[in-house]
Amino acid sequence: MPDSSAPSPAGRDRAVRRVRVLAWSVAAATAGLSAGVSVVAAHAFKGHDGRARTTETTAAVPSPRAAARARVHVPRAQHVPAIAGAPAPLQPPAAAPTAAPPVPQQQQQQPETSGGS
Amino acid sequence: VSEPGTARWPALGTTASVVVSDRLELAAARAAVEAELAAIDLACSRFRPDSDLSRVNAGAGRPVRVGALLLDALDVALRAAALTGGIVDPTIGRALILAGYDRDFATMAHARARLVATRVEGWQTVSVDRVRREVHVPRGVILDLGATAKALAADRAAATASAASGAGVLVNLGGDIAVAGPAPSGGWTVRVADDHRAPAGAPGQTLAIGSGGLATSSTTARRWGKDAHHLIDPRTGLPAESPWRTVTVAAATCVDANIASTAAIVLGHAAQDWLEARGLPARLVDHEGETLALAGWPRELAAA
Repeated sequence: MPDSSAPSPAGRDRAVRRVRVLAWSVAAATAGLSAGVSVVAAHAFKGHDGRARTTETTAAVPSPRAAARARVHVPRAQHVPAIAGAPAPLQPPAAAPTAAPPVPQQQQQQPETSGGS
Repeated sequence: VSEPGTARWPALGTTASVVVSDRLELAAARAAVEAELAAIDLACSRFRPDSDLSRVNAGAGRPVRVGALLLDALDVALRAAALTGGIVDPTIGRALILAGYDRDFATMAHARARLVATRVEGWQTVSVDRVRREVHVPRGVILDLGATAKALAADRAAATASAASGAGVLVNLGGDIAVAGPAPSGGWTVRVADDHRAPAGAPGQTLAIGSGGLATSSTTARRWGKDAHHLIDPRTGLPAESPWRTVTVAAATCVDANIASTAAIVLGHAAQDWLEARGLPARLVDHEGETLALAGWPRELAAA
């Protein structure tokens, strides 16, 4: 005895078509939504584009006139270390001091004294 | 044969002397030295409100336009800091003031009960623009050129006086000695001691130099209170605690000699290797009076 609740062949074909249309609709909606998000993101986070790279490459070898017009930014003096490079080292004397006999105290011309001050 | 001549007078808070190989040239030499000292005082004094240095210290973080002499003096001070790794640093002004050295030493009559340490900002914070002739220090940083300006003055004064007089000249500024021009036969006889005002019979050594400079740094001079003296250790912000009470160094210039003698006091036990590595003849005296001669410094002769 045939099952009365089983779908007819025509009804089964209609159901298959509905599922197929639904699948295509979901795929199309997903692709569209992805494209929309990409466009929004591209405007929200700007980066280098092809034109910027081209300009940069060109600027690497500027013409003399362009170089003359180029603005050079030099940091203010306050931001530059006071001494650049190695300073001249301490220099020993041409000859070391030599010993000399103490000058008698009664001598009028006493030597100059190097001492703390 | 020309006879030497000597003049001595108070200057820069200490004593200035000029010795010439020909006494007939003494007046010209002294005039040149006096002019040089007046210029240095006006440029570099921490105690004159009208000096370039005082205007920089009062700049409160703004660039201040200064004269060529202070620019030269700052170059010397910053070179000293670079060569000593910051051991001789011009930004110790606040530490000196907190230690009590807040006015010309001759007028100091007080003694602080205790020493107060402060952070030394460091010489790298100082900027010098030679084109604009401007100096900039951060707000709160106080420069002191005591470690180098007097020696620079001695070098400049000796050269100027020799050129003006045509004679050999020795200039002594509170123990910082520079010579220029032809030396007398046998060299310039000088004495080294703890204090440049020491009498002839005080402990010390007599020697001869033919050129360059000689400088002595000592913790026995310019003292006040219980433990205070003018040689600040930038690492602690306090007067240096050194095993040496006095260090004398000979060098090609008085500036270099003074940089090394000041650094040696602050470096303490490390000073011996530091001085020998640079070939600087030096005499170090510890607190018991024992002396150490380095890098060709002569042995002391017995008294005649």
